[in-house]
Amino acid sequence: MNVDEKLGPTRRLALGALTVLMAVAGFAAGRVTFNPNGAVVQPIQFNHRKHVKDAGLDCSTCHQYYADHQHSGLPDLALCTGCHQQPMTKSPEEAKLIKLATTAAPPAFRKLFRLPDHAYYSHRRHVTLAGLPCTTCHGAIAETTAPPPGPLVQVVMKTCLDCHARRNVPTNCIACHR
Amino acid sequence: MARWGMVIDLDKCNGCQACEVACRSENNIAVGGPQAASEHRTISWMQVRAEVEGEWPDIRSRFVPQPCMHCDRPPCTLVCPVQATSIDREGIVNQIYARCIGCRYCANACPYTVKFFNWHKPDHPASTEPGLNPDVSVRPVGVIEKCTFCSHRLQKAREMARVETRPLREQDFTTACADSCPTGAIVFGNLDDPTHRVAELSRDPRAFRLQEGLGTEPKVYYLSRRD
Ligand code: HEC
Ligand code: HEC
Ligand code: HEC
Ligand code: HEC
Ligand code: HEC
Repeated sequence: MNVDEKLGPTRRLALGALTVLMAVAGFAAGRVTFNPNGAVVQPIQFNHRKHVKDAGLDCSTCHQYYADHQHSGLPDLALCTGCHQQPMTKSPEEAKLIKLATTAAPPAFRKLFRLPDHAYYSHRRHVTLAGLPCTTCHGAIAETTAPPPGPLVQVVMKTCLDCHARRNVPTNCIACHR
Repeated sequence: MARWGMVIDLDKCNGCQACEVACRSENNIAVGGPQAASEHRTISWMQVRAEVEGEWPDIRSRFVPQPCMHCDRPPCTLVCPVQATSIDREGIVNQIYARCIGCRYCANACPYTVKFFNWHKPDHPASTEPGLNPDVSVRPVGVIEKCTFCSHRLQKAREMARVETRPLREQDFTTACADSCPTGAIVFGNLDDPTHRVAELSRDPRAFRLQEGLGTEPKVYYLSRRD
């Protein structure tokens, strides 16, 4: 028996549309469940405010390289356990940290702010030489009590160019592109 | 302001192609493989071309390493409909890959045929991936690419000079091909600075440029005792 004979064109179309709809719905549901809005998920619920404002730590304790390198760098868990070898609090996150840090391959923190590979940006140039505060480009990250799911400030080419124009810094394409 | 240029001494070039290899690895140039080769679509920002005159055994041959000429009057920039390629204030003819729409007008306008189109998704064998240069982007399929005079090195050199609060020196910025040349045939620097070797060499009586009659004013000079 031929399938074409059984289903009229309208019903076939409806069936096709339904299949597509369900596929889209399934995909969307999966995305929302496992990763809402493409959010960056960190291994530990790290609290910037506690460390920076309350414990008074300098940014360079954990982001070690911005003063004289292109990248700032994110801490690995071994750096955290420099202080957190023994639990200091009753926080379950801290317990998790101590447990994860002793595993064979501890998970790493993931980058939020990321430029495409064709743009050159250097922290040394902007932090050490131009003396810009971190908040200019990273917003109030020091006030966060949990890892933000995405960059707090969108840094796009216009952000770079506007400031460069204002401060009379080069804006020729190959100052930044590579 | 600098005017970057290059001098290539053909009397010193022995055709070893170290410059080609150095350029490839410095600039993450895709390994096209047999497919690209059979289609004549291999990308090579620096190419050592062999010129042979006469008939065997009465031949005269020489090697001519050919990067982008970084013309002062570049024909390629004039035809770009989106200004993805333009001449920088310091004379480097740039190619902004993110801006390029892949129309290939510039490749056709270039009389030196040194602009290359990415016909295929750039292919880097897995074993070479950790060796890709993080200072140079990997070009996507569908854009033109070309020699940049290693302008990514200038970005870092400028920053270093600022950190050490001194002006940029001749040794601070050079290209990968010049670095690698075992006979020192390739010299790079500021053509407008009389203390730079290129400034002196470009005024050498042996100096000439390719297809000078076109009026493109290349900033790559060649030296040769022969005509
Ligand atoms: C220089 C020492 C130091 C380093 C390094 C450090 N911490 Fe802490 N951490 C502290 C202090 C101090 C507290 C606050 C203890 C308190 O509240 O009494 C704390 C508290 C915590 C807590 C529990 C408080 C909460 O509510 O979140 C967690 C979780 C934590 N840190 C995670 C980390 C992680 C992850 C790292 C590595 C990226 C790290 N810490 C690195 C000193 C440090
Ligand atoms: C105790 C360690 C620690 C200190 C001190 C610290 N940070 Fe962080 N920082 C982290 C960790 C861990 C992450 C990743 C998790 C997150 O996003 O909260 C992070 C993420 C960031 C990010 C996002 C980077 C990205 O793109 O992934 C920025 C920006 C940042 N920190 C800025 C700062 C600034 C500014 C300071 C100083 C005021 C500071 N941090 C102090 C540990 C620290
Ligand atoms: C002029 C803007 C600007 C300023 C000022 C700035 N950053 Fe960044 N930061 C960026 C950009 C852009 C990136 C993404 C870089 C990339 O992906 O190459 C970034 C990335 C980061 C990251 C992610 C990890 C990494 O190495 O890429 C951290 C952490 C960070 N910055 C911390 C800091 C801290 C701490 C300060 C202040 C001391 C600071 N930044 C000041 C623009 C800025
Ligand atoms: C708030 C202002 C500001 C912002 C935003 C900013 N810059 Fe800058 N930038 C500067 C200043 C000031 C300098 C000069 C620093 C010095 O004194 O060496 C500079 C210098 C540079 C240089 C060196 C230029 C040269 O050739 O000498 C590059 C490259 C650069 N910035 C890239 C970027 C990129 C990429 C971004 C965006 C992600 C960016 N900048 C965002 C202020 C800014
Ligand atoms: C001060 C640094 C800077 C300068 C100067 C600069 N760019 Fe950019 N450009 C960036 C950064 C950072 C990005 C990546 C962020 C983004 O996409 O906006 C970018 C992205 C781009 C993109 C991709 C935008 C997109 O939506 O994908 C294009 C195209 C581009 N630049 C073209 C140019 C051209 C052409 C010039 C010269 C006239 C130039 N840029 C000069 C920093 C710069």
